[in-house]
Amino acid sequence: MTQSHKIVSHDQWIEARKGLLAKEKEFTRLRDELSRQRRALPWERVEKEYLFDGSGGKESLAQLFAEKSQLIVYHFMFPPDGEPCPHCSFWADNFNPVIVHINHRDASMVAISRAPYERIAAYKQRMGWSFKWLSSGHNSFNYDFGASFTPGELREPVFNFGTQAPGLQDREGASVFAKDESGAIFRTYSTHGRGIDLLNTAYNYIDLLPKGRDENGRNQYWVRRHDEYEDLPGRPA
Amino acid sequence: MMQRHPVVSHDEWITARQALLNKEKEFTRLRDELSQQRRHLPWERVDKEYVFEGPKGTETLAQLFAGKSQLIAYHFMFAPDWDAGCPSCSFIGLAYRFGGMP
Repeated sequence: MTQSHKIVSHDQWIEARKGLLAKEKEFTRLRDELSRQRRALPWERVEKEYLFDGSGGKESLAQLFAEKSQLIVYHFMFPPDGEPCPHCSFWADNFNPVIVHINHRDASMVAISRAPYERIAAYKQRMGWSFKWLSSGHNSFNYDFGASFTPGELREPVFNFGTQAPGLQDREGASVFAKDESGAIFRTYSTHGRGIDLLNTAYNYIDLLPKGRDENGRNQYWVRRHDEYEDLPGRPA
Repeated sequence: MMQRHPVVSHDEWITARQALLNKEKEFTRLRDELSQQRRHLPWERVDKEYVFEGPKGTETLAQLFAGKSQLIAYHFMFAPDWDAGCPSCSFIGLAYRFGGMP
């Protein structure tokens, strides 16, 4: 790295760091407040019966709760006739190992895509992931929850709650559901676009680096699937 | 599971969600701004020579950069007389493991 950065003494560094710390604390409190407001959102009852294709055949939305009362769905971009998204794969690398902890907060977590289950299963095996991943290829789930769009909608502002044109038939996001004692299911939250930014642990670390994301407006141009980086050991250059 | 929560129609839900979206976008921009301010912090020169013990014997701080120009060190709580590392630090470390093969 070429070094043209301001260098100070230890005491001066601590002083400058404390100045930023005050802003970081404010930001942390704002995040807590936003989480509280998210939980205070009203819920929307899910009346439709969705059936997904998974490793055990057909599964209903209720079954995906796996005896928990809360469910997180990651909307993984994987169209029936296209490639699994490398960016969603980056996100999946981040959520795959933490689901064991999420399960201990009365919540289940799965990924859902429109691709047929056989293609999902093959890709999941290639990537070495253990999370549950289902196909919504035979139902309207993706369309109902703002993760897939018809060809006629691609240039319309229908993505991210009417704020953006989707541009692609499948887009990223996460939706959260609750199930009550009677078995009724509610949507409590959905998020898209940069709403999933915080869900990417690697970016939380990359944001600490002197070079930062270093993307210069070129969104994640550097991201590859974790087995596709050119400098992996044992890989011909 | 939960206490009674207000349940609304799809259209009302979208309206409530849009209001929160504006606050979330503000928060995202604030996060970008904070990251930028962090990169503007001055730096402090590390003059001491640190040598660590690792799987390949001793390694210097410079060696930990492994050919890169930037290094993140996670301060993992694992005191000399503890039987195992801190469970909370293990929680954070797990999220950073690539690929997540259990």
